[in-house]
Parts: sequence; structure tokens; C-alpha cells
Amino acid sequence: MAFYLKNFFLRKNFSTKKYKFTNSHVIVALISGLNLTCKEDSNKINAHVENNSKKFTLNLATQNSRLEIQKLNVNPKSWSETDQNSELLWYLLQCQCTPHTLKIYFKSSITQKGLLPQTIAPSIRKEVINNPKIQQIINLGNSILPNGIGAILTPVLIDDEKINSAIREGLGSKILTQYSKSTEISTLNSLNFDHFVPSGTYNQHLNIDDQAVNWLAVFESEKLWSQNSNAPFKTAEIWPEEFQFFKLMRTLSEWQYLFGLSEPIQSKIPGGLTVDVNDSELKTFDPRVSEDDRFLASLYLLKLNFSDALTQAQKGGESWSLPEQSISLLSQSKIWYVAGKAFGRLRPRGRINIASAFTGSNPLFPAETHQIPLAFLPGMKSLLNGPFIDEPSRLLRQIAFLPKSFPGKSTDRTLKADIESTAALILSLNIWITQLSELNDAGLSADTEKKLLEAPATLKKALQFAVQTLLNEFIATETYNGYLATVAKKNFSQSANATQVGQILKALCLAESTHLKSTLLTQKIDGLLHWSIAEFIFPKNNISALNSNGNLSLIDLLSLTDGFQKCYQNAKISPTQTAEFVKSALESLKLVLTKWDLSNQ
Amino acid sequence: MINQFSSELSKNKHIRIGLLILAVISNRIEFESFAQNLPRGALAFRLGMRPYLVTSEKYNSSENMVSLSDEYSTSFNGKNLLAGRGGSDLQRMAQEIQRYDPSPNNPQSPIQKLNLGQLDIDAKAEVNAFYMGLAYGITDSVSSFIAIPFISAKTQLNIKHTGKNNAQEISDELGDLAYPELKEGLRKASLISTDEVRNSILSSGYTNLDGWQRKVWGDLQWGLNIDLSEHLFAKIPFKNSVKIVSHFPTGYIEKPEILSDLSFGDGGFGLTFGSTFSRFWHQNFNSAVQFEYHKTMSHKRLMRVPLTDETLVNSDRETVVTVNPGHQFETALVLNAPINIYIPSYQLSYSNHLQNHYSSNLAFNQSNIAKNTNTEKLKQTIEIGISTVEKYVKNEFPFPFLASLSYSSSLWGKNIFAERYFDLSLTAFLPTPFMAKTKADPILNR
Repeated sequence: MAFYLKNFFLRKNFSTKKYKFTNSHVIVALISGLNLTCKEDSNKINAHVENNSKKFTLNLATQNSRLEIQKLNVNPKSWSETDQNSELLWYLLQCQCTPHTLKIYFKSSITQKGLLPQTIAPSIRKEVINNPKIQQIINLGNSILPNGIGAILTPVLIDDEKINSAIREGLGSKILTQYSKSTEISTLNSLNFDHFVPSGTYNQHLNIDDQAVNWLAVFESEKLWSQNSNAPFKTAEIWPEEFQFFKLMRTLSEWQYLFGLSEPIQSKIPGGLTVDVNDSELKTFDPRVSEDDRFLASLYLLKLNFSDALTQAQKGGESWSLPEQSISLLSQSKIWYVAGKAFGRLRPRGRINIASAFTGSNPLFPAETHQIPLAFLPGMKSLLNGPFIDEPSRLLRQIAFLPKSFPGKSTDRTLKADIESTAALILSLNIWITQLSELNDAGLSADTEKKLLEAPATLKKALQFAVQTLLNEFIATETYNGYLATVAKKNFSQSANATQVGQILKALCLAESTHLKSTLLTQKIDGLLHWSIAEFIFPKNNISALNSNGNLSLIDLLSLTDGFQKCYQNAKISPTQTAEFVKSALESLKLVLTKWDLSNQ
Repeated sequence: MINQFSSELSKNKHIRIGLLILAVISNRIEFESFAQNLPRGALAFRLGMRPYLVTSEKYNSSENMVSLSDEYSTSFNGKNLLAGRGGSDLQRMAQEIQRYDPSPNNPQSPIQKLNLGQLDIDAKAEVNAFYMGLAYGITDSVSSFIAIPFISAKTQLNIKHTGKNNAQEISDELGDLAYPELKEGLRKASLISTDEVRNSILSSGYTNLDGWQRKVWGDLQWGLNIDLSEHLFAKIPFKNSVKIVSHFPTGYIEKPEILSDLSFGDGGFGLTFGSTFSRFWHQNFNSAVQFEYHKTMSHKRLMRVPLTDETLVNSDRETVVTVNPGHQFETALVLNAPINIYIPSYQLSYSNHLQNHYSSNLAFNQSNIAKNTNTEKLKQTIEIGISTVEKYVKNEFPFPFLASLSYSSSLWGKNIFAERYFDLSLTAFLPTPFMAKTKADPILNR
């Protein structure tokens, strides 16, 4: 079938020579501003970029219709206005192809106010309580003022700004320990250690999807972790790595809080927001001492009893509850993916670049920090085995079937996982299998290693099931422009959109290149690549009804780019002609994305 | 899994059941004929034998004549496996393989390419029936008879696995996509051979895979034949007789663990009601029309019952099943042209046996067993008979007897063998102290 498509391309003069973008095209497009028309080789390539204040459309097309990138609608708003869009951010971080935008994100993210004030963060809270100066003032107030008055006046004597300023200085000094020449971060006067990004307009809700994106920023970007990154946009990784380091500190603290892994403060362990399949009561969870299989819910509601920083530090004052919700596969898969990525980054061989933060007499992070992501595994096991994967009926559920802890709707029980959820699950399983298959250097105890011994085989079975489900539910062989082609389907009658196709390609290519060597899978990927390029990147005129969408959104572009990248880098794309197609498609997509990224500088 | 692969074999048991029913039916029609119109006190004794020709064809459920192996020699390609022709395990395996590419229009998908080869079953049965009967004239118009068949049966099975098996190729193509159980299933499927098939049948608790040989009794029949010509139908130009026959389950019933045996009885008590209208159109030509209804009563039988669609049923599914056989109807037209002592005749008969019903305390797939138990048949018989009765009555022959040689063959059918057999019989008449004094009565005429 790939052969047919190739012939189709050749018959329609879709040879790589005729639509291949060169560097000169990119440069011309970048320097020409928003009102630009550039031509090369007489009438072969025209690029139109229009700016109508609300949006701009980039339309690259050959006048003779031999080459056309579909109309691209991109939201022209600057990144700072859209940085709460966790879905877009997820794709930006996964693609790693818009470095300027990501720099803005990192910068805004480390200064952003969070859901949980930094004085409640266990490590900060302990520091505040034990700070000699603060203690002195508190004692002073209590001793010279009548009973009760001191407690009222102490917050006034030590206002929030003073405490926050002290925290900033302390955090800055920590980062300077690691990055002695750091300049940019020291100029940020609103650096803060608040935990958890607020969830949209419901600023009292902790949404795990939003947090997963926030955590992904730390572990996905190569910048912090590797000097020898193979990232395709490596030369453009322009944000200071200390931004990422700061977010690492905050992420680890957030996880510590969520699992309740810190020492008790005033005889109570802060945090502990895990639940299990039989009980939705929030509890702490340390897999080193507990046999439970606990996991994080999707949504939490926070109530704060105190408003000033000092009282918060002294008394805590936060209380959490669980609103009515369901546990979605997409949400959990994102968490698992980030956790797997984190384990790979934080284990000794992955953290070489910041090894000094884990060593020495008083290291910033304990040497066994990399074991924190392992706390996500028991919950993953318990949720996959039954609640999400109903093996007897070969059903992968979109919503976990948890009648005791999260009853949800009755229809949830048979709701099949969609493309996004299935692809996300494949990515998370893939990364965990990779990480757990070789634990020699992980510095784990013999007991922990024993517990993890069977995990790769179990997870691989789940991966095989997820990929099989993806192939069964969303990949079809259909007549496309007169030829049999491998196409992605959203459902029986509709083709998948570009975002979904990008997700499918990424998931399948990563799985195929690591744990699922398969001739069949290689053929499917090959066919999908040909079809998706014909469908979304270089469609001919009057494309068939399968072409359901004339425009590609920014997320479409990011997802497709990410998918093509992963296939181009990892999968066995053969024969060479397919690789050439993908390479050309990637160049075209990068051209458009780079343009958008530069507009966010 | 291989157990399931060879499950088609058990259908042969059903084939043979069909053959058995056929044999019994055929016997049933003819037993009473020699008892018609016996004079009071006369005793008739009949001996006969019926060698069946080895048959290799049958009428399927679509009423087409097909080779026996056409239906029971199954190609185990993806389509057939998905349809459950290889049993439930292979069906599940095929369903799993289909999940990697369910598109029906992709000839290169694993399920479309999957082929585990072909199962050929060469089945033969040699059946020779001997029968003996005794009839007695109670009055000049009422006679009673009793008869029983004795059968020598020999069956031969030849189970073969042929053709290319690409299970390993499919497994290689799936590579790491296939999870361990599926890989193991494909590995086992790739090893399917004749020996594997035989071993799997044996491991399911079946015996006699190569054949079975036995000499057994059939069902005992006892009945009355009543001539109504001089009573109810005295004023019409037909001779009419009715019969009431009871069947006792003395015949051999197949055992659930034997793969290749045959039943030679209905398994339960049965009743037949029949009526014959005949007329002499000419001195040398007469005809008769026969009608018959038969019902075997509900009875219990030890059987292995399938849970779903498996046809090779494991021994742990053996249970007592209540069988309620379907009603059976038969009609026949007989033409005779007696010349001197010779009586050539031609018979055309049609029979219809409705579907059986099965039930048990153990849950099972009832329709699977009942399937194809409804049968239809159109059969012709050519016969040459010799009767010395008239000569004996006229003192032209020293003793009365009837002898006949016939050949029967199926003309059309449904779910039944295309049977062919010869029948040779000899009937002798003996006087008793109760016999009428005169020999002038022409009642011994057929």
C-alpha cells in the first residue's frame, strides 16, 4: 500500500526536489515580517503571511498547485497571554521546537503565583518556623505585649513581603550554589516557590493535568540534563538552565507534598493527597514502607484558613478535599509519562549534568531523590489492572472503573479510550519499560529492585495491548485517492485530525523503536506517514472527503512536527523514499513554527 | 488450542448418527410387509440381509450432494477461524490477530493471510444388517409380528492435516507486538500436524480414532397389521390395511467417548402408525400408497454437550441429556407387476424427520447439537420378487415362500447420506394347529 502511495506521489510530481524547502526559504520567511511575499525560482514557491491583528495566516503554495501547505491559523497572542493553556503548553514542551516561546514560559512560570503559598511548602515552612530572626521577633512580641496581642501583631511586625523576600534570597543562593555565574535568575525580583499552578478560573482547584504540564517542563527539555543533546532544535535552546533547575526544585517539593514524604511539622506530616481504588480518603503514601497501591486523583479543592504568610507557616492551615470527579486515562497517563521521564533524568546516569546537586556533605537534593518518581508506579499498576484495562473484554477504558472510590457515571464503564488517551498511555508505558529494564545504576536497594523485577514484563504486556487497541480502533486500510492507504480514523466515519495523527505517529514510532520491534508495525507507520503527509502537509487540489479539515491549528502543527520528529529520529523508516518525504514535511513544518516562535520573542 | 483445531472431527459422529437413523427407518418400513394378510393361524418367518454400499457422498443442509470431506474437511484460514470453525480457542486467537488490522479490505492484513492448513477427514462405514422377523395371523384380518435387526458395522477414520501453515510467519510479522500468550498460541498453531491433531483428540478423552467395529442388535419391533378391506372399506375398490408398531430401545447407542461408533437404535420407546391403500388395476399390475407417522418418545442419553460452539467436547462436559426426537413422516408409492411367480416392483418414498430437541441440567449450546438433525430423503427401490404362494395354493408348488432382491438408492435429501444398499430376504410360511383348514383362500397374495 505504501508502494501505491509512493507511485501516487510520483505520478503527481510530488518528487522531493519540487517541494523541498531549503534554509534560504526559511531565512527569507523569517526576516520578512508579517506582511511578506517571497518568491523563489520564478513561480514555484509563494509564501503569503498576512496580519489582520487577530490572526495571521501562512499559506505556502506553488502556483501550479504542485505543493501546498494547508492554511495555518495561529493565535497571534503573545505567549504570556496563553500560558495558562495547559493543552497547548503540553504540545509545546513535547515538541521542543519553539525555544523562544518556551523561554518566556519558563521565565513567567518561576515568578508565577501558585495555588499553595510558598510558606506552606514543607521545606520553606520549616525554614520559616526555625528562622532565628523570625523566632526572635515572635518571642519579642509575646514577651512585651499582653497575652494574645502578640499573636495579632506578629504578622504586622513580620510582613509577607519580608518573608517572601527572605525566601527569594534563600532560593537565589541555592541556585547560585549550583550556577555560580547565574545572572538572569538573580534579576527576577518576583521569584517564588509557590506550589501548583492554579487551575484556570477555579483558582482553588488543583488540576493534575495542569500540574503534569508544569512538571513536564522540567524533565522534557534537554537543556538542563544533557550537554550532548540530540534535540533537533538544540542550537535554539536559549533559556537559562537555572530556570529549569528552579522548577526542578519546586517540582520535587510538590511531589514530596503530594505523597506526604516530608518530616512531620508540629507533629503532622504536611500534604498526602493520594487515594486508592477502594477508598477516596486522602492519605500519605511512601511505597518504601507501604504495600498500598495509591495514586493521585485528577482534581482537588484547596481551602486556606490563614491569609498572612507567617501564620500559614506556623499553623499550616490548608485543607484539601476531593470534588466529584472521574479518573481519566489521559490525565493519569500524562502523570505516569512525566514520572517516567523524571526517573530517567534523576537517576545517577541521567543527572550527570547536575550531579553536584546530589553530592557533597550537604547536598541540595538527597542522593536517592530519583526514587520519588517510583511512588507513581504502584498506583499505575493498580489502575491499569482492571480499572483501565478490562482484559477479558479487551477494553481499554477512557475513565477508570472505580465503583468504590470514584463511582462516576454508569456509562463510564464501557467508554472506550480515545486516540489521545491511548497514545498517551503508550508513551508512558514505553518510557517506564525503558527505565525499569535496566536498574543496575539506579542505586536502588535490593528490596526495591526485587519489587520492580517483573514490572517491565507486566508493563510491556500493557503496552502491547495499548498498541493493539490503537491499531484496532483507530487505524484502517481504506481507499484513498484511488489507492489503498493506511489511514488514521477518529471513528468509523471520520478521519483523525492532524493533532491526533501526530500523537499516533509519536506513540507508535517510539514504541516501535524501543520495545515493539515488528514488521507489521513498521509497515503501518510507513503507511501512516505517507497518508498523513498527503493529507495534511501537501494535499492535492480537491482532496478526498477524508480531508476533513482545511486548516491546521498551532497544536496540529506541534503535534505533527513532534510525531514526524520521533518517527524520523527513531523508527526504522524504510525505504529511503519515506524518510525523504518525512524530512521534507518536517522542514516545512519547522518553517512555520519557527516563524511563530520568533514572533514571541 | 489444538484440541479445538481438531474439533471438527466430532461432527463425524453426527454423520454416523444420520446413517443409523436411515438404516433403522429402512428396516422399519419392510418388517411388517410380510405380515400383511396372513390367514388366521399362519406363521411367517422372514430372514434378510442388507449390505450397504460404502458411501462417500451426502446431502448437506442446502440439499446439495457433496462429498463427505467437503463439509468436514475444513480450511483453517483466518475467515473460518474467526467464524469458529477451529473451535473457541483458535477463534479467540484469530480475533486477537484481527485486532492488529481489522480492515476487511486489506488482503495483506495478518488475519487475511493467516492459514493453519487444512483438516481432511476421510470417513468410511461398512454396514451389513441382518434381520429376522416372525408374524402370526391372529384372525384372517389381524396379524401380529415381531422383528429385530442384527448389524455388523465397521467404520474407518483417516484424519490428516495438509496444506501450508503460516502461523509462524504471522508471529514473526507481529514481532514484539504479539504478547506472550498470543505468541505461544501461534507457536502451537504452527506445530499442528496430523499427530498433533490426533493427540489433541485423545487428550480430550476420545477413543477409537482410527475406526470402530462391532456386531450389535438394533431396536426390537412388535406390531399389529389390520386389514380393513372387508370391514370399513368393503365398498370401495381399494384394499386397505393399518399398522401399529411399537419400538423397543434394544439397539446399540453410541458412547460419548468413542469417536467413530454408530448408533443402531432410536434410544427410546417409539410408536409407528401407518396405513396402506392398494389396488389391483390389472391382473398383472397393482399399486399401493403408504403413509406413516413415527414418534420416538423423549428419553435420556449420556452425551457430551458443548458449552458454546465447540464441537470436540471435553470429557468433563459429559452428562445425561434428555432427547426429544422430532416427529417423522413418511409416504411411499409402490408399483407391482406380477408375472407368474415373479413380482417386479418399483417404490418411491419420501421421508421427513423434524429437528430433535435436547435439554440437560448442565448448561450447554442446545442449538449446536440440534443443528442438522432435521432430515429429508427421497428414495427409490427396485425389486424383483418371487412368490410361490399362488402356486402353492393351487397345489402347483410344494411349499409357499417369498424371496426378493432389491436395490435402493437416494434421489434427493437434506442432512443425510446418499445411501445405497441391496436387500435380500426370504420369507417362509408355516402351518400351525390354529390355521384355517382350506388352502383355497387367496389371502397370501401380496
